[in-house]
Amino acid sequence: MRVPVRGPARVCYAPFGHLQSASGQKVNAGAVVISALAALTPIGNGCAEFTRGLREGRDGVRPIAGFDASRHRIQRAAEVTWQAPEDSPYSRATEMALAVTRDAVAEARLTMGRYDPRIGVILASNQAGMYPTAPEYRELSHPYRTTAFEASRTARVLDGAPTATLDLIMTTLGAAGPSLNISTACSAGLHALGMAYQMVQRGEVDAVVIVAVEVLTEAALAGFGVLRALTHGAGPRPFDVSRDGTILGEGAAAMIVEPIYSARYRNAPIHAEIAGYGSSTDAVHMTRPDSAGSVRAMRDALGKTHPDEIDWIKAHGTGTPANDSAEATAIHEVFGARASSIPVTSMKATLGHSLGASGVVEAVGTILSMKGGFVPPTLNVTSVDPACDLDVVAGEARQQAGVNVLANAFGFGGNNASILFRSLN
Amino acid sequence: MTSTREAVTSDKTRIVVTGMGMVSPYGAGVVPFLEAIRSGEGAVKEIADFECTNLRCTSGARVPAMAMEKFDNTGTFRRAPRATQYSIIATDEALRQAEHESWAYASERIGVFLGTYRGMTEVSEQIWSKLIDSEPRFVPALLFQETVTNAVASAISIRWGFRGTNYAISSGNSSGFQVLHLAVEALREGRLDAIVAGTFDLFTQANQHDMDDLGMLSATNVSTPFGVKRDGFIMGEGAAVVVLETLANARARGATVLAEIAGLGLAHDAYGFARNHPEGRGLATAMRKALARADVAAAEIDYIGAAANSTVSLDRAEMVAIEAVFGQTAPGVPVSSIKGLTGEAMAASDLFNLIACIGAIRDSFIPLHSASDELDACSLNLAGQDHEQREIRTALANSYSYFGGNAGAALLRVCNN
Repeated sequence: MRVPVRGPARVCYAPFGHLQSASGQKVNAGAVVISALAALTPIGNGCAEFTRGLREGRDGVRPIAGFDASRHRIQRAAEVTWQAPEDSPYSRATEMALAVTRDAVAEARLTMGRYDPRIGVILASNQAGMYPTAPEYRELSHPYRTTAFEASRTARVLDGAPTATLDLIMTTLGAAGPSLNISTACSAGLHALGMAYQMVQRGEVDAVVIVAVEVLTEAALAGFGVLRALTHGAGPRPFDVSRDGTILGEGAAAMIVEPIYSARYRNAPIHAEIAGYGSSTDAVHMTRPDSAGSVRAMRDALGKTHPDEIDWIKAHGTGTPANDSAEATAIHEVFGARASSIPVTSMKATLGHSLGASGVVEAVGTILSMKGGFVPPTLNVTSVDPACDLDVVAGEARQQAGVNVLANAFGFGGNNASILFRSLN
Repeated sequence: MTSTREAVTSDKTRIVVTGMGMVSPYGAGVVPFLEAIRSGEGAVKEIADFECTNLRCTSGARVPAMAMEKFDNTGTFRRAPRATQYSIIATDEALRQAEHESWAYASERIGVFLGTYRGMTEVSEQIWSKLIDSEPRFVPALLFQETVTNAVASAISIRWGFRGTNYAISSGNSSGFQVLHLAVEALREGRLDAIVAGTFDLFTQANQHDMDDLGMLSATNVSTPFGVKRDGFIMGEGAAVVVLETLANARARGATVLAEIAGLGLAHDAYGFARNHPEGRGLATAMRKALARADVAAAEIDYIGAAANSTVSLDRAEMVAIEAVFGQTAPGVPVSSIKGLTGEAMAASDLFNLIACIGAIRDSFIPLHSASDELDACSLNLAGQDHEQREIRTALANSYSYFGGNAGAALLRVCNN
């Protein structure tokens, strides 16, 4: 990829036209934008299908088909139907990550493949290529594997190491800048966006390729099961008075983050601006959320943007009683009197919870919805919890301009991240 | 060097270490570690706490069993996974040295950034064993929540009430310098006031089997970085942490500054899956970036803490990369890799190396390069037993691995006046 160097390019900002955000604000010449979106989701592969699925309110939750789930307490999840090439020596997760990476690079018109130390990659994933099912774990991992694995499985064993997916992305792209895998449970995706935003802002790289992937694993299914965090119903009911848990999901997504001038220079799409990032820790409890932490993350993401300018909120909204209550409390704290009238949506009922990937997958969904001028519906909600007192977009998509949209992702360990997206004309 | 540097950079953007702590194969504490690498006491032993039948490599540098109640008698601590226990012990040591009790920083302005290669593998293995040998419903809930990579960082933030940004980075061996880089930038940009930055990495019997089957470990059971007969690495483990703040803040509160982290460079070989570039191009880029960020010329570096871990291709590539970056000055700079003594502790090695460099700067000694055989023909000035000791004002620490992630960190001495 060849983009103009940082310094002079800022001076050359004017020839690219007078940029304005959709609300008429003048755009900062140093704006950090998203120039590509790609996704594989339970409701559609590719951005066109994903957008259609969000607008139509498709339900991605189904009985688990990827492995035998009969021993598990909960046997439903939102799986991605995309199939990896059968002769692939790597994991399905890695193949998914490579597929979205290729799509994003093509959309952003990046020429890659040569050694380029100015391109960084940030991967958001907890599991990446680690063995997802008991049969595969038994085949490849000690103590179940009692002899050396077959030579044909070497690539798979290497791919079972925590950082292999990232290495394959770097190698495939020729990206030779910073290579980070952020692994902070369910908030990882938005931290990846925030880190990319900061790296581009300080001119450390020309662009960051963000990749997120998570596949369904038996360990997570069992673990969330024993934590009593999964719904016994057909799907989660975020912010509903009867909500009883989340559901696991799969997903992969990629984005390219770069300065606005380099995107303009290559005539790449400008999907949205990253206008703010907030990160915080509750420091209270490993799994019980505390609203004070999320309040700080949201406020930091808003920065100088007044809460009244926020058009809608993409909530973390897992559908567990504790998360949704704490998130609602935090939204009230940040938005005051307006909290109960700002449209809020959660995509967890549609897409399941893809843990480390969810932040990026849902961010792609958020930007696609902003571009489509709608707020996607929160499925399965029939009666919004009066204690939450939020304007939850339930039933079907709502036509609604989205100039400034706030996205939340909170995770285990009281780890919080929020990102402010802004539409640009 | 320092005069121009101090003229152009503000103390608010200079990031310093004010505390360090660790649990290494030498046990808890920075002191026994520094004494060992100074005198050349090896930690690699025949592995005794698990069965190594049918393995070529039966050696490792394990953290010795310690009486945990000595550190903390609470059930939460005693039941915590090893990774959490070691990281808490290391953090406690680092925070004491940094006199954290007297800090005036708001808790929202204190972050915890941890890096790890294997993360919570030791816990995940227990989950899989329950799942496979028993029933999914018998997976212990409290254990499952410890499988997330950020479990340790969360435990630290909960224990000390640090409510700022909390990161867990798991991108291979250089995760240690990656978190330092993120921490340095966060402090320079004024987003946080203090950061506990560190790493942990442990190995299990399953890891030993995988690495042995992949042919990565030494079949002769010897860790001999840059040695002619090197044939793979020996695994090590541990946790290490440093406390970082701006020089301005450290001076304002009268803290003792151990060293300045003047620059970090991150890069990737982008060469081939699980293969390093033969000439270490990523590592060379990372070293150059670190030196440039620190505004230090290669010729001004007094010591290089190498990443070499006794692997044929990695050690060769690092040699070439150092020669490329240091040019004619390469033969004059003392170089050593502590991994001949400590084994390869993955991401934890980054901070072991960093702490060795800080010790070298503070106490003016060169960590001993221990290699039991003849050294590979190269122009490097490896600091063996009889190496001349000299003052160390600046050091460069390297990180390298077969998964291509590379990093360099440049450290400087800061006078406490």
